[in-house]
Amino acid sequence: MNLFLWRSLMLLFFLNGTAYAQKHKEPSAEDVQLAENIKAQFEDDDVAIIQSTDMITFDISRDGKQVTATQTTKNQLINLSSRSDIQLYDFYDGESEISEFDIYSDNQKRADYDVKDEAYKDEDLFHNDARVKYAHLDFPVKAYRYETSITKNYKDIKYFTSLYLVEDYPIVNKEITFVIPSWLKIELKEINFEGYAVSKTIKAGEDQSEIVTFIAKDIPSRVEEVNTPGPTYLYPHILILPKSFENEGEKTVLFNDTGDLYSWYRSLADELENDNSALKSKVADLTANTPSEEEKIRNIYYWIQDNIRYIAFEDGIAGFKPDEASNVFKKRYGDCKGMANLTKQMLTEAGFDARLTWLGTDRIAYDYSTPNLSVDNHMICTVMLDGKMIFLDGTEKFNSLGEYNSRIQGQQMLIEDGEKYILTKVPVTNPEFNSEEVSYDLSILNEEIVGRVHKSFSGQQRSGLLYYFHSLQNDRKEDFLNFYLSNGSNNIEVSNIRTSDLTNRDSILEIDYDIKIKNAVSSFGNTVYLDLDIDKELGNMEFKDRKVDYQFEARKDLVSTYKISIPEGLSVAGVPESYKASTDAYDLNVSFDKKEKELIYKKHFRIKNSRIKVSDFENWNKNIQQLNTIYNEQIILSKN
Amino acid sequence: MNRFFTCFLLLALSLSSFAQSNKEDNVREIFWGPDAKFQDMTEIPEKWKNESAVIIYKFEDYTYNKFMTKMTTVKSLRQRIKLLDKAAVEEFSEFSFQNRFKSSNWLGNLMAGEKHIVGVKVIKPDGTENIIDIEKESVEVDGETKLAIANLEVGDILDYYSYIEDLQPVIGTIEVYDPVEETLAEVYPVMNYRLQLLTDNKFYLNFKSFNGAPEIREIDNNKNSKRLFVLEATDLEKRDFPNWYYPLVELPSVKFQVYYAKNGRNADYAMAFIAEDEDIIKKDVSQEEILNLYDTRFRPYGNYGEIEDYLKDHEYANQAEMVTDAYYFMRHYFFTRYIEASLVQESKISDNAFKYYSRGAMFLDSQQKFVQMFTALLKEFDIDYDIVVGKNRYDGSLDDILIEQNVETLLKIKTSPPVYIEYFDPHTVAGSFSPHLDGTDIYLLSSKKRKKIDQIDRSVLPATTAKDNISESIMTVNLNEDFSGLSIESTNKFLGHEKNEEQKDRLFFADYVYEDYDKFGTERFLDMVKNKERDQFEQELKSLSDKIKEKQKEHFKERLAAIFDLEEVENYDYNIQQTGRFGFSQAFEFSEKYDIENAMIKKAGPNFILEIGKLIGQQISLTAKERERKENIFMAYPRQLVNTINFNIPEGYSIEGIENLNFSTENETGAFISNAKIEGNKLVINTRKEYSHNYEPNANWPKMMEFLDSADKFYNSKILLKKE
Repeated sequence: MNLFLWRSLMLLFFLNGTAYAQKHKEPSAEDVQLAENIKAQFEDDDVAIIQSTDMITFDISRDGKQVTATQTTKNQLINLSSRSDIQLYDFYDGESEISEFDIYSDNQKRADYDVKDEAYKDEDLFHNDARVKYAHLDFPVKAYRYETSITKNYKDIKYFTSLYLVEDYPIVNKEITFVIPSWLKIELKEINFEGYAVSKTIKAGEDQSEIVTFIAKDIPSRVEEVNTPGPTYLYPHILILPKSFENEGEKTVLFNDTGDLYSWYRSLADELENDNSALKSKVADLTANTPSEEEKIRNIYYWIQDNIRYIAFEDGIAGFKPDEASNVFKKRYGDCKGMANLTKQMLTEAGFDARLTWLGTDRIAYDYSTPNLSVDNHMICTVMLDGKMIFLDGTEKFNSLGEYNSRIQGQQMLIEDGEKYILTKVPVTNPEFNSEEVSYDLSILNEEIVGRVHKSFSGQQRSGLLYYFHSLQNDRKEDFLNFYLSNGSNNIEVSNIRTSDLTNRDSILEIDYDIKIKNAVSSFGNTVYLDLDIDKELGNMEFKDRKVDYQFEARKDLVSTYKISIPEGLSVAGVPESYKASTDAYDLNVSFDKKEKELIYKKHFRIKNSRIKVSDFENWNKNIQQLNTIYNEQIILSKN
Repeated sequence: MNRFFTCFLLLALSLSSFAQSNKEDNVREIFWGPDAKFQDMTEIPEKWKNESAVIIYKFEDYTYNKFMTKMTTVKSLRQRIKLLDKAAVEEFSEFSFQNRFKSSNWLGNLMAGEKHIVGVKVIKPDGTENIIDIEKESVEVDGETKLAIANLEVGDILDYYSYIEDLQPVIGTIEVYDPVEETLAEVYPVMNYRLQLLTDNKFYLNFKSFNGAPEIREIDNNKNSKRLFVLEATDLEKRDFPNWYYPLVELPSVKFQVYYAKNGRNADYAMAFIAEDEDIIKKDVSQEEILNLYDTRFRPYGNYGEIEDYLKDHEYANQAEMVTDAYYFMRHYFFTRYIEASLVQESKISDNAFKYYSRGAMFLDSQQKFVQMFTALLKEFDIDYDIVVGKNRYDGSLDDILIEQNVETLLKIKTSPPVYIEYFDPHTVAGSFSPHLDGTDIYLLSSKKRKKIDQIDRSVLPATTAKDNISESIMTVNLNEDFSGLSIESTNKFLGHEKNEEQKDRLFFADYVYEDYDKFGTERFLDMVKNKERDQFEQELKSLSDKIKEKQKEHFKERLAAIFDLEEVENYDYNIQQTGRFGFSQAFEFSEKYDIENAMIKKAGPNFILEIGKLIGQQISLTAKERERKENIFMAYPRQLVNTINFNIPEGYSIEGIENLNFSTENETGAFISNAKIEGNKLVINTRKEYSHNYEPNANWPKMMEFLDSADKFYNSKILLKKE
């Protein structure tokens, strides 16, 4: 607030700006009532769209080779809160343009709005051609209104892949109209419409065109939550599947079936020169004195993981066409397509049958049965070995050959096969494949808990830790291990850390260390209370206000065993009750086992389905509350 | 992470010296040509083998040149760095910079403005050099050039330069360039460092090395019209600043500033301490120079009629009281009465919110104008004063004044007792000044005959003590019925220097602007607004106010959760009780109510364990590395943090473990003292943590650790609620 204030005082003082005359008109009582009604329905939102209409029309490009599309979106916005300040924005890129960006308000007499146009910056993309047009809209009082109209033109229908019914604000009434000319064959596929009140009508238009209208009501705003499934799973949208068009009697096939999509991808791959002279000697080095074929593949795959940095350029066709392998090799960087192509070319040089492979990660809800450029977002390489396929994702780090990251497991792939293509899925592994196991061997000494710890990590739990460790500065690596193993708590001291080889991505990662835990033992009179659990996994995962499914990064197993010796003269007087819960998505197991001289406390949490659905939240929350009851309960030792 | 070059600037080559098309080649020659240093060095010392990266050579060059009617300033940096891990490769793998110079666009580059030339090469361990073709390998969007460095691997040496030339027409007769103040130490260890300044005549230089940094030398460069100054250093360990530390006070560092003056007479008018002759590197500033500079700059001046009228309408017991009231009235009259209008303007409620003020209305927007106006008023009332010239503690001692922008000025009004005042923000109070000046050496400037400032004396500002700067919280704590959490009501008071940051965070305009209108009887902004617009302004300002308050509440809620190391607190509400804006010892007070759920209370069979120590908020918990601290300790000011916890014991329960809550650690550096007692059905705990000074020598660190550790132990203390 202070900065805001100072800036205004410094810059605007006595600046008799007459850039625009601004008079505000008070919203009507009806509008105030309307805003209050909408707010009652969408209480977390500050702005709503009363009426939103999309009109989509199609045309043929001047050269007759492409179908163009025009989308005009008109929104009536209303303020639900005391005051709101929002940005109105829309994106475009090399394949599209925004020809109209109009703002009007009945509540103010103002002609000009400062519409900015700048490159869109994305942390994950080094360079991309997306740009954004935007303007600031201020709603000084409740029920203040704006009308906006944005027209976006797609130069090629291929890039107009879908239309979402959701916005940043809830929509009271939504109408989407497609005017489909008779010369265009197109499928409009409805996705995630369940649970929404959407009606669809089709009627004949002029010149034998078909008018398809979708009408929807009361659509909640897009949510901003972490660990969500991709938007293709969450929101209602229309997938646009252009099949073919006719121009002057000539039919042009677009993406009529998967084969057409493959043909287009292949045509881009065929443009590559594949001059592999630059990488020949490196391939020879990596495969020399390596009799096993699998070892050769391993050496090449690991070299790419370790030596090629992920840097993405998404500019026009570069968003779809892989870079030359030799370029990626020389630059030592590339995006997923460049890395996949380098993997393919290096393996080809080594005499293998390697293929480019397109797929969508688990962010994407579709498969290749709906051919469209939004079906996939990733590329890897498939190598054929002894009649089997091995999938190599060059963007992975510390990934063991034959292990697949959860984000691609179970996803359908489109694999090169000359004129044809192969459709198959990435194998799916069991939850225990990604496991983290810890065993504590502890005793009580001078009101502190001391002992030895053994931790082991496999699958993604291992590769994630190794990747993070190696991305740290040399002089901070030791501090990190200390910090990580002590859970960042100054109540936990770790020492004598020994690890297995931290460069080995194939075997289980093991860490042993000594531990000292302070402030976990409390003595009152003749009773000692232990707050033994220093990890309390899942304890903070109650979904109180969450609106959409929770997505774990992987299916996994978390196993821990605390073995604590009971000091002479004390005996276990009370432990929390053991607990078990099991659903299709997860198993939770907590047990306490009292022995004469020791207590064994075991936890085994298995995430069987990486997605916890909203419909399961109630049950999940009950289980987490139960878990927290255990975490909050002390182990009681009394003097004999 | 992108590596931004833009914070480094210039170097000077007379534009006429080179044809534009050769510019890039010429710049490359400077940094990588045959005369460039350390071109072949690839080895690093054994002691730095485990670092992330080692800078083999860091070369900074600042050049200032005036040619005809154009002023050219160049700032450049070359670094030759050995990359020893993936983190370093990642750090240097992407560059982005603005205003790239392109030789193909030479006409455009002749025009004034900034241009940037960058060169990057990668030296492989076998010695092969790969010079990056920036034109080919970069992309440019909206004037920003982005470059991903190809073929960069662990073990490589990256050698890059950034050359930013700024060409501007000469407008004034004086130019004061931004000062440079930095420690020599870098993020990575540095083997060789060279700082170079090249200026032509007409430029003046202030330069001083501190805390053992090498001295700058003038080097004969065989040019009459140009002077070259060089500082060289070797073997610099990387910087790693601890908490509570002022690097510029203790570590080898340099400060410099360059000035241009058309002639010596013009130099006299610069707001800077400038050498008599441009041949001299100015290292020290004498008392006489200070006197001369401020005499002319702080001549009493200003239209204080309204203030005078206000004061004459009121009666005061003494001059100190009058001066204090004058200060608060000015804070309102020249500042807070414009705040609503400025919000109206900034939030687009109107584009002409200031039209309702009278023509002569003004906002006092600088320390200088404030001092001039206030001293003019003092003269009018025949009140004696000194102008105080000092320096912030983090910036080194008074004797090291070199750069005028680092000087702080305030007024000492010679009333009884004296009243110190400084340029205001909405919450500053008379009788106090920035904590960074607490107890520092100062100069007092005064005039013998109440005309010209002609006296300068060395003195010391009063220092506050821990008893002046207090944060106090009094809380009442109740357990939920089901023992799942706590319900808390608290009153929070802040005194002295502990106040200002809290006020800035907690108070928004409506909390103090109306207070000022009421106190001084001035016309409210909305009352000035004509009918036509008044309703609109009022309604929209109210909406804005509601929105700010809503956001503030969210922020306070998050802040509180962070204090208690919780994910959230629930049912939060707060209330400002006293703004504390009218006196150093007047408390800023607010109350809070909130619930803490599923935390701090644990089931223990039929009993419960309450982590009651946590209610004083997170304490400093020292790491092993912090315990080995080698540096002296610099803190903002001495202070006390006081807590009272009134815990209502639930019926049917008794308390065990009260003895765990009693600590008494006190020494010359500070204290942590706590005591707990049962009063009826209440457990009452009082704690006091004190930092006695704003500075402790490192030898006292073990003593400080004693009370810091006690506070941390208290934080971890628990009590048992035993079922009776």
